[in-house]
Amino acid sequence: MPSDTPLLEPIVPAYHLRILSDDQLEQFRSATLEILEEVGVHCPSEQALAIYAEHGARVDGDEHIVRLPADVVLEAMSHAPRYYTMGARSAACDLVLDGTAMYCATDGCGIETIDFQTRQRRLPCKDDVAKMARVSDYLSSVGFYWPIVTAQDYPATAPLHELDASFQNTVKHVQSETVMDRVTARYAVEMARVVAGEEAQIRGRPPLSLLVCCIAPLGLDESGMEAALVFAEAGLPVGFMSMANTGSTGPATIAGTVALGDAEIVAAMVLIQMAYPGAPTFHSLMPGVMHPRTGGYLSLAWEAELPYPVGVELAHMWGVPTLAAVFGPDAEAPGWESAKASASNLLMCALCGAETGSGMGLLEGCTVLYPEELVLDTDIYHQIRINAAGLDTSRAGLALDVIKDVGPRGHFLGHRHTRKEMRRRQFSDITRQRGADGSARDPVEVAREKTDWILAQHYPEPLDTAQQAEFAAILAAAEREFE
Amino acid sequence: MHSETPQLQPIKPAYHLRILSDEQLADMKSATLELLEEAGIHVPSERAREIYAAHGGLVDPATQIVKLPPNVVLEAMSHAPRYYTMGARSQAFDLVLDGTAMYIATDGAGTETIDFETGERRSSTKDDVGKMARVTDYLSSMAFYWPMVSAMDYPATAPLHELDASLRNTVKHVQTETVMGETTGRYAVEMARVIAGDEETMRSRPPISLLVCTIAPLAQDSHGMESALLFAEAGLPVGFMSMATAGSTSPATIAGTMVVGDAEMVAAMALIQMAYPGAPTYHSMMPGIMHPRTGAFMGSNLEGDLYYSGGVELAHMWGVPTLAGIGTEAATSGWASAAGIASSMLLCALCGAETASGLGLREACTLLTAEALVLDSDLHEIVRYEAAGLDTSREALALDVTKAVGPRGHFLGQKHTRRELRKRAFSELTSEPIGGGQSGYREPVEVAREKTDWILENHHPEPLSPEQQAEFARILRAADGELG
Repeated sequence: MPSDTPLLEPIVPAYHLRILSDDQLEQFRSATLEILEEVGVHCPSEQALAIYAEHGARVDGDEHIVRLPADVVLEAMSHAPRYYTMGARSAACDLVLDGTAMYCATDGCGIETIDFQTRQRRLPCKDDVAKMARVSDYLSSVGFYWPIVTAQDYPATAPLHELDASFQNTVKHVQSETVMDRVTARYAVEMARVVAGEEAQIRGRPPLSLLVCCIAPLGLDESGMEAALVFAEAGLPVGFMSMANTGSTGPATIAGTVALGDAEIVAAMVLIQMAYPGAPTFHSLMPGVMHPRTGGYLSLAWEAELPYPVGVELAHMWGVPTLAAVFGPDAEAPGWESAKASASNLLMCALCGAETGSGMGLLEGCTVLYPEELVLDTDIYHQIRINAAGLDTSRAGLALDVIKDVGPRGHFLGHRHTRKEMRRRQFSDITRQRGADGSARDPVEVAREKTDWILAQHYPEPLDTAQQAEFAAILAAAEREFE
Repeated sequence: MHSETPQLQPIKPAYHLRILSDEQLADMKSATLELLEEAGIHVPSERAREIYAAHGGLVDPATQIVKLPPNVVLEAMSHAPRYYTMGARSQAFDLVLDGTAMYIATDGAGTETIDFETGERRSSTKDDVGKMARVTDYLSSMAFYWPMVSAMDYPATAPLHELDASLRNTVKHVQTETVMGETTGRYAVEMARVIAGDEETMRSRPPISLLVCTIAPLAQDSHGMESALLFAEAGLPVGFMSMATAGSTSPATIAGTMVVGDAEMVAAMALIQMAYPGAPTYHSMMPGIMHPRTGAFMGSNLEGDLYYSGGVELAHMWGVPTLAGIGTEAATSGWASAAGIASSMLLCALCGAETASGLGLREACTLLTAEALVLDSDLHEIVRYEAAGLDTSREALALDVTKAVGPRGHFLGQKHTRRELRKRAFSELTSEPIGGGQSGYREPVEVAREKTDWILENHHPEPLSPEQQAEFARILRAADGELG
């Protein structure tokens, strides 16, 4: 008997925020258009170069540099849909990206795991992807799933095994960030087709989407772009992320790095719109700031927060949804540092109207899986969800009759209203927990226990037998081809 | 030779937020007026009741309940100044509450300290107040000081010894939350006068202010209100805080609790305005939610942040500045102490809070540890940068540099990088590499602890003049004689 997947609880903001003025947005748009026209992007894919050339770009075939006149960019982007749905294996978990709600995903592609039992640091494996898919399926905070680590026990076909482990263990939408190259992408699309069942479903409620990273500065990856074209052809959403790093792969100013990243993302979305006008695309700005002494990518330096909500506003300026960068702290273990900036960053992205965001559950700059971190991030998520939902100031919420009834110096403990309403108040099940001796428990330890409980109890609806057989056949074929 | 006090760096939002709609604010205002007219407030101070009665309050001496018709409330509140300055011993640290910046204070009135040397838990002392005043003086994020713990080694005159330790060890504004009662109030005002030097400065740049808690539901404390009246008479700002608790001392709804709190604060501010029209007052909403099993006050929770930012908007609706509630109730410095502070601080700042307090204590605002204030200050910096907006000038967009580097290049060799990277702001707590960064970064709690030790060792701000010190000693002797 499978477990029910709890209903999603997206962030539905009752009030909104604008960080950049119209003038500032226009400055960014002009900057991006100027970069694309004068500097261009490096694109080593012959397939992509041909598409760019055919639609008015100035292509230097020797240098693989594509320069895009402003009118070419604007024409291509005019086809990009502003709103669409990302489907899920279970229709109840479809994500309608209409701007009213923000859905968050886990982080993904981690390269180390703190073992669930031994707590030792080790390489990640397919089973980790499956386990965390089950935890994600259980948590109402997780709107969709990024395979949270890489399936390093399947070196040649890891991305497909990650999708297998994900689809087998959650009924939610899955977004891959590791499917790179045309061949792998075709197998991935096949898997999406198995989940969707029919062509209309795969386009109307695509159960799988793809995120491709650009290469800063101003480079597009051959395999990534070709995989994106395969996904777009099939009607699956594709997004592009820039991780330009202020000072090394981006200028040493925040706005300069943002402009550079935006140019990369727009160039990639333009390609998709040229090839498949109207294909669902999304924009994801996730730059960092270079540590001045180590050269490290710091996603949460003091100044590194603002580019994420700013990225949300840039996405909307270009008329596409966003995947905002949320959570994903630099901290090396759950603790003070891992929590310090997540809440305010998530709040800003949500209030700016982000449709999706990802980054829950990994540490050390999105590389290390601590099994309990996803539950800890969930606590912060709910705090922001509840606060973004606004205040109920109805007559019942104001409770004037109850206050008059109690009057000065009374108390509300005996009132029926208290008994009824107190049950509606929402409390963290991670913080302020007490041990048997009455002492305060460490929330990290409580989160670890909750993770263990979910893993022991929650087994979502599996793929049906026919789908499982098809998945096995796809994986077998892929393994033969990649051997 | 004394140390320079670093310049203040308050949060200056470049963009703003409104959480409650005009209609919601109007509903809350009507609710407060309805409660004050129909349920009223318990006022045990005879002097306060006389003032209310003289200005149109309906006083029942038998029950000590005062009911305030809406026109009486609105008339009184019409005198309250929306903008004023809270002065400091050093003028460079005056806090101009004009709505362009949010100034943050420490938490206050803790009762225990983890001893900085021995690590033992003990009762807090005057020396702790002095030490943390010095740390506060050093931190650019801390704009004014709440005596962080109680001077429990001076049981009868603790509030005055807290002021003594504070004003001697920081040149910043000091806000007390423990001066209660007419006698203590008079001595405290004397100390403010010593700092200000003359009557005009005392009123235009008041170096101390007072915060008084109301008693939920809908009641006032006799001593608190009497010291508030004394402070207001002297021109020192007085504010009122409600800590109503949803489920026990207020209804089990968030909005209901806010209305109880708002009614308490407005009744108290109305009293001050009746007695001293135009006196600087402020509004401080800091309610909690009752823990459903232990009954404890929880000031922050999944639902808690809206109390504080909503409170900012209510204060402005009544035409007064706010003291917003920020901070944490976590037991120790760790995941829980960091998880909620920044978002709450950001919401309050974007709603336009002029002041806020609550940083640097643990265990629900009761326990002082050496590292907490420095850690919490780091969160202030995150919010300061988040709220400051983005420089999108042509120079910041750096298009020429991007064009010079081009696709697939790098920016490491650019002069622009060398110049601009120095302007980027990094946390000194979380970016401290071990062994050149190959072995990761140092534990921030440990770095914070070291930084506190460094400040205590090295930072000794400008002392009071010998004459001021002599006057303070005289005031304390007299108070110890009268109250001891």
